[in-house]
Amino acid sequence: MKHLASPKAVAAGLVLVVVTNVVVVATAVWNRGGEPRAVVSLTERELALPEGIRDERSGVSLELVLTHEAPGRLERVARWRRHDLPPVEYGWCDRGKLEDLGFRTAVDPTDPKAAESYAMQLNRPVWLVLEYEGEAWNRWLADREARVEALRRSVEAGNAERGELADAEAILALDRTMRSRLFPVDAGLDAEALQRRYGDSARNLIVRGMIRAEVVPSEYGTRRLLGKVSGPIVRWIHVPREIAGPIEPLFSKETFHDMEMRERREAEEGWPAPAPPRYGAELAVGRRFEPWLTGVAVVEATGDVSGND
Amino acid sequence: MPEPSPRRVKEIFNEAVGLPPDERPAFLDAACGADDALRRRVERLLRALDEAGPFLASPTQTSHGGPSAAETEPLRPGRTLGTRYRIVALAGRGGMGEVYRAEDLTLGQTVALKLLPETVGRDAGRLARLREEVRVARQVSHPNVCRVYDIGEADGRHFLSMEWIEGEDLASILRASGRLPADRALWIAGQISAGLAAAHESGVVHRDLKPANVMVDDRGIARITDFGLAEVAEAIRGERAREGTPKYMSPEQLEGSEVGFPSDLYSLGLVLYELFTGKPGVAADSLEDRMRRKREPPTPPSSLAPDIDRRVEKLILRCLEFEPGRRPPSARAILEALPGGETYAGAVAAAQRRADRIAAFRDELAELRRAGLLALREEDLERVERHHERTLADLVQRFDVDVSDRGKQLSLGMRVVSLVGAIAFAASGYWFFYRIWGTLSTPAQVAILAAAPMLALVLTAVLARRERSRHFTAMAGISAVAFLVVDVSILGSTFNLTPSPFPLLAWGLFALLLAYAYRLRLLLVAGALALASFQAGILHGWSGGFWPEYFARPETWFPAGLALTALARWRPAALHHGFATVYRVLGVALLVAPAVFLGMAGALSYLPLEPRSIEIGYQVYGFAAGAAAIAWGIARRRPDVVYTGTFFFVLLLFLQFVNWWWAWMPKYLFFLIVALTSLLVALALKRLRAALVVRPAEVER
Repeated sequence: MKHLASPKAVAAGLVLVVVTNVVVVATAVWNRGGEPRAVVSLTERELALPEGIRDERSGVSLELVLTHEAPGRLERVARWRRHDLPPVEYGWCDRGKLEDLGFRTAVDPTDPKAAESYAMQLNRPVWLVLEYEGEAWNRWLADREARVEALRRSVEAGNAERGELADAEAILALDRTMRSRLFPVDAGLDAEALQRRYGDSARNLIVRGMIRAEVVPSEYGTRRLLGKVSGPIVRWIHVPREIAGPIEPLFSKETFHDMEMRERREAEEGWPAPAPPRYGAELAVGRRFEPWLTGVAVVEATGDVSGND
Repeated sequence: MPEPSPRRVKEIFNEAVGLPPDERPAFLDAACGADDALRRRVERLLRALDEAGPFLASPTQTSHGGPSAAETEPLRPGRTLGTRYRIVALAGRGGMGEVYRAEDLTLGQTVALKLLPETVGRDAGRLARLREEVRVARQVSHPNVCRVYDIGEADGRHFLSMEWIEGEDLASILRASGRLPADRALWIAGQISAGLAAAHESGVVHRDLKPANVMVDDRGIARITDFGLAEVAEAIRGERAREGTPKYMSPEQLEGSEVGFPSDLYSLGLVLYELFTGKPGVAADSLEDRMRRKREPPTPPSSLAPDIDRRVEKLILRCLEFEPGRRPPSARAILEALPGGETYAGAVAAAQRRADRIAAFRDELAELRRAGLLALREEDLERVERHHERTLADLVQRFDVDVSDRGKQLSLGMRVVSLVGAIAFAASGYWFFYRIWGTLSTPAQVAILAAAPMLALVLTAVLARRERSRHFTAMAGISAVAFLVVDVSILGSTFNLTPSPFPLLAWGLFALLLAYAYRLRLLLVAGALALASFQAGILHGWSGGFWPEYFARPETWFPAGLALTALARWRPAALHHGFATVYRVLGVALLVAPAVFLGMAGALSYLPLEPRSIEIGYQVYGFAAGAAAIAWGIARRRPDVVYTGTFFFVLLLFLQFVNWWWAWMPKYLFFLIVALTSLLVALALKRLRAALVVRPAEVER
């Protein structure tokens, strides 16, 4: 037996490195081989640029944002203006769905220890169905508009403050133009079954995501069990150098700290003006339900993708 | 005429071997009398000895070679070999050539020069192999291994220069005094095992270990000689030597199979056998005889030395197992299994403490003299100083201790700096890559990422060949692993792959490979933790959880804890010094630590029980497991296990104190209980330490 500190050890190490790299690359190639399971055209609202200057990184990845995740700028301004943003709840992820997803739901949500008990169950990986600008998004937006309309009537009846209405209208305008329209509409443990059920490959994306069980108080003080979508597991989508050109001029020119300070000053004046998406991107999902970008392009203010590739 | 008794043949042969050739006939006349068969047999063996060199017999008064006919005229004292070595005296003639005591004129030190037989010098292939062996053997730096300095050629003669050792070889000692007293035999056995362990850990196989190749100086320090010189022995020995008495050959060596570490362990077993019993472990006079009887178990040492320690006997018999796989896993394991030799590292630590005491004494003495509180005569001071200098020089040579605070700080500093440097190096690579990432095409990204760990691996191998301290090797090795982590992580980001636990498997295997190849304990820890994380992640994934959150499910650590604890007894765990300790400490930690978390938050358990019941259960388990670890560590004399068990036991205890009493007990009482408990634990630890301390006598001797 020869000692390992020999060419054999070096050779074994090299083989290990090569095999590891080959497996990783082969996995990616296999995922992207053949017809994609879905190809959906998204915009900056759903695929956000990282905030702040990127002087330490020359590459770029876009963040896949879901409807319940408000844009960072909107969240910060709301915090400085001491205003809560409207919650986005996924009612379909109820107690029954959570049971289907493998959660233990024996503890009643009204039990004093329920919150801690469900928090300890941690996240569970699931397959998430994300619907782009579909019925769920429209329904949520219509509900928001109806609430603002109800508030307007209350103001006219003298039952509410005008300032409150102004805030609600500003936030609604921002939601209309900046919030992600990628709405989780279902989750399951069988990706293929979900693929069959949600077959519109131009609108629905099925990706690996996480859900955790939470005890949520309702508007009327009752407590119920609801699944909280923790997000897609692959959140950052790499933009290959070959297609990154169009969005390079859009990268932030100021540091995150400077940007925050500026936003804070502006927040004292009022809500930011709605900013329509500046670019669109085509996101594909492959055999392993892993996403990649096939094209990125600057779009007109209408929000349409002006062209890919 | 009946066959002469082999025993009688051996006795006469052994005595004749020690005589000059011209005195042998007269001796044989007297010893054999009219028994011609006996005389012919002995003469045949003596002729074989003359032809084959030291293989058949013990050497003369130097270990640097056994008796044999010289191939060339001896060099006269005062002659200079090349421009560097001046011959002082002929020290001996061996099968590997003549051995001279010489002066290295360049470095001004005494060396042993071994002139190689012409058969070696003429054979370019053999010479090249010998150079390679010497190159590897030079990497072994250990107080119990005779250092090989160089291989050279001067005046048409090839020679090896090596450390000069003033003393006597073990074969001569055993021949003169028979069996050694048990404590001295143990002391020598420990040193031989330590030297062999160091050599094996450097990748060097001796292949010719025997008492004649162990040199003992007048302080009782044993050194194994002729490491890496099996090539020379083979050149002289050839097939003819196999007709002799291959007393110290392993069965696989006899069969001509590949000779590796287990073969050396067999030879070590035979050396130990002879050391403790005074008799050879195998009684075979020829290769044929030995081949015929190779499966015969050796006579139990206790039948020759009834008072032999049973642990030693068991160890020797394990070394002499026919199947290499049934022998002890390593020389290090043999060292640790010897009574009193549980931790050679403990002896090193004791040596370091002695050096520290001397340094402290010197400082205090200087202070007292400056303050005018102590007046000593100059000759007394000089005598003490000389004694300390000798002692320190001895400790440095034997145990490589640091003799000054600065030295210790530098050693520790080097380790810390190596680690910080490696991490910073990897971080630098990571950020540099991100800085250029966007300017590269995807194939270029993949190529650069894959090349980084490979280049770092090659650099590690190159540094390992050039460096003994391994500080820079460690730096390169850690960087190689870190680069593989960066490689796979960034590739995952580049291709938007779903995070999986499998990269942990690759990282763990890569770290273990480097740890074993270059004896890097830090990478062993990293590799073991990566594989433990892989196992825990897989387990948590099977339970339906998101695999990276295994950390919040402490029960997933148990299988890795059990596996690591079991692996501490596994053969490769004993291959390098300290590796078994890493397995044991990590194993015990992963078995006990979950109780710390689950004892506080039962809801983190998979068990479908009330959290409070789970908490109580794990509190009980934690105390029981900690106590069991302490008890097991004491029984097996494993300080690492004792300390790990104690740490978790005490941690659990204090956490429970907070849990039980902080809210309702008056604070003065709470802290009083904590203080009293600490006192009790300190007293218990003091007793434990006394039970575990390594006897310092070996160091003081």
